[in-house]
Amino acid sequence: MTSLHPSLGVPATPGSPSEDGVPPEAMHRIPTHQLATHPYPARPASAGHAHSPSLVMLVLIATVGILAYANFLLNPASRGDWLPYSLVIVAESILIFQALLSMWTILSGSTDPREFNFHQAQATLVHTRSVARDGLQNRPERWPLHLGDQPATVDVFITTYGEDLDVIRSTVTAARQMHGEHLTWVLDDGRSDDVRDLAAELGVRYLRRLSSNGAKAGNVNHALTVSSAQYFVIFDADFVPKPEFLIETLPFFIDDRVAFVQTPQAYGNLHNVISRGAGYMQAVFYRFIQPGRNRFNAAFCVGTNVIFRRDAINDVGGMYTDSKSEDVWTSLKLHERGWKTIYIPTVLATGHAPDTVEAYTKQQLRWATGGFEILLQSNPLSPRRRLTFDQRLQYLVTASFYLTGIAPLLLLLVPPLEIYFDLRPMNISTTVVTWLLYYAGFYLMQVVLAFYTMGSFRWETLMLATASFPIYVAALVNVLVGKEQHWSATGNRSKAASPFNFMIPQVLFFVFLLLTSVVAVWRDLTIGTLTLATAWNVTNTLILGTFVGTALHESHSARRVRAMARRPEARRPSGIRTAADGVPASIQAAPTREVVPS
Amino acid sequence: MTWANRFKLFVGLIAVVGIVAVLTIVFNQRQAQVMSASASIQAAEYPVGSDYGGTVLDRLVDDGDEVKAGQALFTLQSPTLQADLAEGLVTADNVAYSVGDDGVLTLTASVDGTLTDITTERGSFVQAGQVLAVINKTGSLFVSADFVLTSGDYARIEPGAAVDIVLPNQTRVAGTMDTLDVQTADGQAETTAKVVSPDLVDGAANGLMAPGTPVTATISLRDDGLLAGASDGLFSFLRTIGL
Repeated sequence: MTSLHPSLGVPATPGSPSEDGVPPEAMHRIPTHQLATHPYPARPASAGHAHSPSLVMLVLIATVGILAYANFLLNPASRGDWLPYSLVIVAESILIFQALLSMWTILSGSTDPREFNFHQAQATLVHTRSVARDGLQNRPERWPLHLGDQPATVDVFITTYGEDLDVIRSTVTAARQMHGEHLTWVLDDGRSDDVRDLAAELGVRYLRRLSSNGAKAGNVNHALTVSSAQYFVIFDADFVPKPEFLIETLPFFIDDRVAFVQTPQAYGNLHNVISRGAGYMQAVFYRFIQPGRNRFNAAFCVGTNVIFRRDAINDVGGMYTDSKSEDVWTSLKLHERGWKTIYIPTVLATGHAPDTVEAYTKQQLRWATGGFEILLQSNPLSPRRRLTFDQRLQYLVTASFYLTGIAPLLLLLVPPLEIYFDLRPMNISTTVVTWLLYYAGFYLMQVVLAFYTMGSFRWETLMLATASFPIYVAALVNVLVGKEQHWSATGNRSKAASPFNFMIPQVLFFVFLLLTSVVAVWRDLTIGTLTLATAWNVTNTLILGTFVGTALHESHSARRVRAMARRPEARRPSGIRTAADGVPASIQAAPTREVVPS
Repeated sequence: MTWANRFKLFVGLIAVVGIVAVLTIVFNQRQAQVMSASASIQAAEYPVGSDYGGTVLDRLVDDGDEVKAGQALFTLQSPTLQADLAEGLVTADNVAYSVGDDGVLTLTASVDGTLTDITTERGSFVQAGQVLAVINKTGSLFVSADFVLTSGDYARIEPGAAVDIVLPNQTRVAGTMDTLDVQTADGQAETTAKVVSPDLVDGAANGLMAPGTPVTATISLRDDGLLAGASDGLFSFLRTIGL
């Protein structure tokens, strides 16, 4: 009765026999949801709670802006030559569709998934009396967990595939020390004896399989055949969990229909342009989109920082192994079987954002391929899918999201069409001011919205989004022709490849735009007026130029680090692993920041 | 960077430079031309009129008829003319029309051509000086084209410049610029050019070569740009090899 809320019920009811001899401060050390919520000060736009009225207003204004822009584009009176006009219409339709639906999703995400039974289950998760009885007050990682009245068993899987030992070590150490009794496993697909020795040293289980079928999903499925806990957690090798991970996620399973609880991917290495761009690109997704998807019961798993119910995975025949995006596919299968999924925007693990062009390209290609696979092979609107309308809509948004990455390609081609062929997307009578007004209605409002929600607008994100179209085109083509992209193993840091290996299309496009800009300026000088096409083309050239410049910088510093590594007296052995990162150790040691605060 | 990728990048760069070069020449070629804002085929027009008001006794031809010079078109009974004749103010043998003894006026065609725009019917009254019909003179077709030019472009138009005329059925006719009439508004020269061509024959090209047919006229400007020599060379090369 009184011990229902151990954290609130301080001091403990005197006279209870089992609490005799427990010092009050030990009672305070029992973790609860308070512990987890404490480090996060309240923010105006904290998702998972009612949105601030200003956010709602901004979203509404942005919606009006989008609709006005769409109206302007589709107005027959402002239509120009058909080729550039179709390019603009196709690209903007994709962007407008995604923007409208994501704003709707954001507005939907105003409820906290934690209901009464969650709080009740969290309060009784750790039985304080038995903890005290067994003398485990100072060993939180041994606290037995209970859901309702039943003991709950948890396995923690850390999937590795050739990552650096230091990275694995910090993840495994943190995972081992998570509060609540659990068994930690290292699932090594990299078949490294060093990882095996590390697991032995840290006292966690080590699992290596003979085949490598199904990549990460196969790895987890294999582990499920030898483990037995009711719940299992998956961490990528570079995601360092916080101690309260289980305390914050496990209570959701008090609801029998919950299949998994997903937490955000937060990044601690936002030290260069690529990682900042990539990190912030996902921040909106994790802070606003995923919480909104909760309302649609369509929050999907992102493969790491997630806790699953074993019964649910058994129900869908294990993790889905036929795709590189096993996480989204598994979520889809679970939703089809009627399972409920939970996403909480509370940061419970911090990892590494891709900080090289190579890592970024591979990550985006993998994700985009997964999205297009769903769009083309498992159309969420198909009546054969057993999904609710809400879920269909959300999966359609997910599956078509990466089309927005192809839109910049179409838009980049519009100014050269005008420069070389005088083909204009809009009617020649449309003045610059009219156009600017409508354009601002869409894009400026999106920037304002980003500014309000994220606290800042990141040019890196815009730059990366513009420069990444070859990746998404490659992903679409791969899915269309059923080709599998062959690359060396992710995380293989032994040979540092030049970023330019992965960005030949971007370099060529940059050169094309640069030469076109020269022609455009020459043209404007002969005509005697500055045209909008020239202004756009120069802007696009600068954006792509920044990307090429970033890559040059990366390649330059990688070469410098390599040169230093060759001189043995200049580097300590531990420094060698940063060679591929192209990041001076001093920057890596800088205090980390998290992108996705709750 | 691997050598394979270096090679790819190198070939790609050459391709990009090549594409830009071709596009620039195309662009430059277009810079040396101006397309008409509107243009149509027209013919020399000879109005049929009367100096005397009166009642139309008869219309002897129909709209669209081919007429020969001197062919009778209308007969007119004019009380004014009869009064003038009675007073001896005019004589019966005048040039454009013949007057009968009964005072009936016969209007005749002054040139060979096609009759259009008949405005009167038998029995109607016409005022003195009114135009009763128009004759489009045979063999006088020309193109009247309106251009909007910058002053720089205007300076590059040369007398006798080549003009490319495209009929609605995409038939191309070569012409030359004859006369130019210009008005300047908002710093732009609104130019009306008369383009003549020996290939404009009445009723040719499935009847499209007729007055009123809309066409597109593209006038060649004197190319004094940076790439003048290069693009001329390229295009004469393309012509030589038959493209």
